[in-house]
Amino acid sequence: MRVQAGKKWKALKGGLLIAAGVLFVSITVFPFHTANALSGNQFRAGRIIDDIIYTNANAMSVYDIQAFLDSKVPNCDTQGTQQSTHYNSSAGRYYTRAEWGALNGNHAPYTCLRNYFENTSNMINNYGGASVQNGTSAAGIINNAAKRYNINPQVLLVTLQKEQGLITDDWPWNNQYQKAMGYACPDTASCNPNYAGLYRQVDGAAWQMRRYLDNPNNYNYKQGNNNIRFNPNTGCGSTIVNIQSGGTAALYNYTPYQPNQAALNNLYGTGDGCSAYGNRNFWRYFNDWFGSSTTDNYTAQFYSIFPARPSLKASQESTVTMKYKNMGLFNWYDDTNAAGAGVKPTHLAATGPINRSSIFAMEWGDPGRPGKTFTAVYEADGVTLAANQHLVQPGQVASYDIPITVPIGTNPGNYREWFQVIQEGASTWWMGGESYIDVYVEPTKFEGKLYSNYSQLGLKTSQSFNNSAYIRNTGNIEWYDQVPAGAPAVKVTRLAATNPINRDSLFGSTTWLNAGRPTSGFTAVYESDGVTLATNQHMVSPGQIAKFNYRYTVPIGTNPGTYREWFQPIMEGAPQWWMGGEFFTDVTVQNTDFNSQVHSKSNTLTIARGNSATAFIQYKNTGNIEWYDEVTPGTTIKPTRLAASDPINRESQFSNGSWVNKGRPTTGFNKVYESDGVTLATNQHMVSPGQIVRFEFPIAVAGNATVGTYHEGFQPILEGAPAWWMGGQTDLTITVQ
Amino acid sequence: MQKKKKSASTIFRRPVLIAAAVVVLIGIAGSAFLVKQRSDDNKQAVASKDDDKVRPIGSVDYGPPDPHDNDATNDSKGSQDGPDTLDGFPSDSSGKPSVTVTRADADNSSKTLSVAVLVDGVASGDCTLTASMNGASSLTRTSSVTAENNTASCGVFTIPYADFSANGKWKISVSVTSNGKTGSGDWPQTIQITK
Repeated sequence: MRVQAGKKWKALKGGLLIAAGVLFVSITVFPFHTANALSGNQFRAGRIIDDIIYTNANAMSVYDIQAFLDSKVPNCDTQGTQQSTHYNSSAGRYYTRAEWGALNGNHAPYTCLRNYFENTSNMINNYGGASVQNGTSAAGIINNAAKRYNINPQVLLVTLQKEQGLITDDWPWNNQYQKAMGYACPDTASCNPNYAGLYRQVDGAAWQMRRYLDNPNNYNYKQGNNNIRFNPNTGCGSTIVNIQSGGTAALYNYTPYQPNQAALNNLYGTGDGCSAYGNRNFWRYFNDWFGSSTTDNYTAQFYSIFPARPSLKASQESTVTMKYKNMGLFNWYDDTNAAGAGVKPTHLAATGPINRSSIFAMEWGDPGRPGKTFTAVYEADGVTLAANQHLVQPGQVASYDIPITVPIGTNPGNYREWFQVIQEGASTWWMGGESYIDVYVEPTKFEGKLYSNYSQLGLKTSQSFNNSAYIRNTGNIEWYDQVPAGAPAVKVTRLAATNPINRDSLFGSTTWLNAGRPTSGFTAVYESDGVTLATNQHMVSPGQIAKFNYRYTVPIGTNPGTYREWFQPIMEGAPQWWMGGEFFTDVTVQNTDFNSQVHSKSNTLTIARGNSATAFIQYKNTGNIEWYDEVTPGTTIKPTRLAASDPINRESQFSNGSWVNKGRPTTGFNKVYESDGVTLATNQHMVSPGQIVRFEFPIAVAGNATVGTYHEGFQPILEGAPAWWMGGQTDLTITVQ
Repeated sequence: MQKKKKSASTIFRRPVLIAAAVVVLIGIAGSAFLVKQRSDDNKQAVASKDDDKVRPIGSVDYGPPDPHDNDATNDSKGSQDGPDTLDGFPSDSSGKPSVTVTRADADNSSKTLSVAVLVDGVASGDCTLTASMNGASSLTRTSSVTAENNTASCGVFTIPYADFSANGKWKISVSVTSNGKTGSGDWPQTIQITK
């Protein structure tokens, strides 16, 4: 039979998927550590467990303990349906567990530790399906004892396993619970019934362990040299063991034998007739299940994180508090006092790999070091502040507040950020405590939409108009017109000339930030109704409306026509600046006519040499735009001046010191009249079309002037404008006597 | 002779074998990658601190149990003694106490000698400590065997240096008599007593 290629590929693909899955899981679960198999030659009889680990009461929460119990008995054989290891020769098969249990007085159903509850007041429990009121779970009993006596719950879990195998047993018998910890069960006598049952066993054993630690002189083994046997059989011998920790002494007081070489050579099996396994198995289970039972000079253990999974949009920031317990033998110092103590400082570092730069590090100062000083130092309970906030003693807890800032442009998704505690600059910098923050970057929408705007304007050159554009925030994140404190990733939102972006607008004025930015901030911020002012006038929340006021000014010389001016809100300086919301205003520039006509002027002036007389010329504005005698702020309109002309800028021989110069007899308007030439206009510095302006100025005749008649030309001009011509050219007749 | 046709299952297994080979290769490559990564990570580290560690301190194995974790428990169920403590031992049928002098601490600051004694095989009896040195009169102390929670002991003898008749290196022995049978043990070294 031929196997089709498709099937082959399916089989191969399945294998590859499994392979990839295995590799993925192995990398994901243990990204930095490769698991070495435990070996008997690593066992140190004098240092089975260090005190800081033995007494790490907060190593697991009750939920952790329950999860651990669940993991070690994935399926409880409650009814004992599985095959036992005992052969029924008469039936020619193995007994089922239920059968074997019944033969030995232990009928199904069986209750596994993960499912066990006990009322700790009356010791009634739910073994075998019995009902129990106010029961405490096995995990709760273990956790309570650990906390009450300040013993690592992992020590209790391992003891339950080494004594009765209860952690992994998927069909435990009731009598295993009665002596669950082997407490009050001397090898030479029956168990003390006063301590029967899980609660009494666990609580009593934890109490005993604490007593071993607190009263070392009262017991057979303590730190220092001890004579420890391999077996109760005296023929198996003993050795002097230097016990280096109270926890190790406690283990020997609880189980007074050390494993011999045969037991260590076959770490997961049996040794010889002189072997003892209690402390070997304790050490083996502890290291296999909970990591090393001994520590180093500098060792950190991850303690807690809050929040564990910050959810942020681009530009937002959240502070995550991570705590690490000093599980080593030496103190930690931060930058504040490490130098004074002559040690390397303890830092929190981004890792995986070490020294990587985190993308969320905007506020760290160093993208690979979120913490160079402790935010707080706590006692072992993780709550009580320690006396010294810059020194972490063994057992104490260091806290780091890590500001997580999401840069604009970060793709949405989950980012697992790894950290660990290190000794900065030390050759043995590794301290462990690898831990991570899952930063969820939410999809972020910076988006605006035009709410209202003048879409059509008609302006003459030099004229200005104050426009207002209202843009609604249709995205899902706030806009700011100035970077708020503590949010460095924020980019300010501005109105920009666009199409293309950053073009210079033809109609920009001095009120603009620059030719491509009509405004520098929000003029106002409204609630979504477009009327009610928002509380914060520098932040536009989703749904709110930003108002931008800006001024159009049509420069002199602009060709008549209609100009479509595009604008849009942008995030200034962000690579992802686009916010949509483009809108336009059609600016129709009309023909501009600066034109004048002589309304009246002085008659012939007869002046003797060395004398002077006052002359005047009045002009009517016959154009279609105002004249000004000074620069009007916010416009490009040039001032209208009277100039000596024919030719323009000629130096008149009749000037005197009151003239601006020899070509400019006046600086401003003397009078502005309505069109009747009599009524004074409201504004004496502006001449609207139809109005009349009067220029008065002295005509001075020099003492050596030549006698005769002169025709002095004058005309109004737009001072400084390329198109300065306004017509109105005339002359005054001057007779010099 | 006609070549024997490969069975369908054999043919079908080939891709599985290839996949298995790929698994091994990927595993090797992955391991090499991890080792290299770790090596790169530890560029500053002259001696990695956790070379002899199996798992990081504080990590918890939430994986399923080892298939052999229950072997001893299952085997012991229904045995003559019932599932006793897995690290327990049958009693010595001779009934003779097994005595171990577990420690003998000479504390020169408090000028006291502390001697602790572990007793196996019996739960009651009389303990006699004897300190001896050539040329000096012996010192004896007595106590009773006390059944403690998990073991039996003679308790801790605390003897002031002043009770010793002379300075020098003393030998410490303890005998336990129970039900007419006596066992004894020595501290394997001599103890310097300097009053």
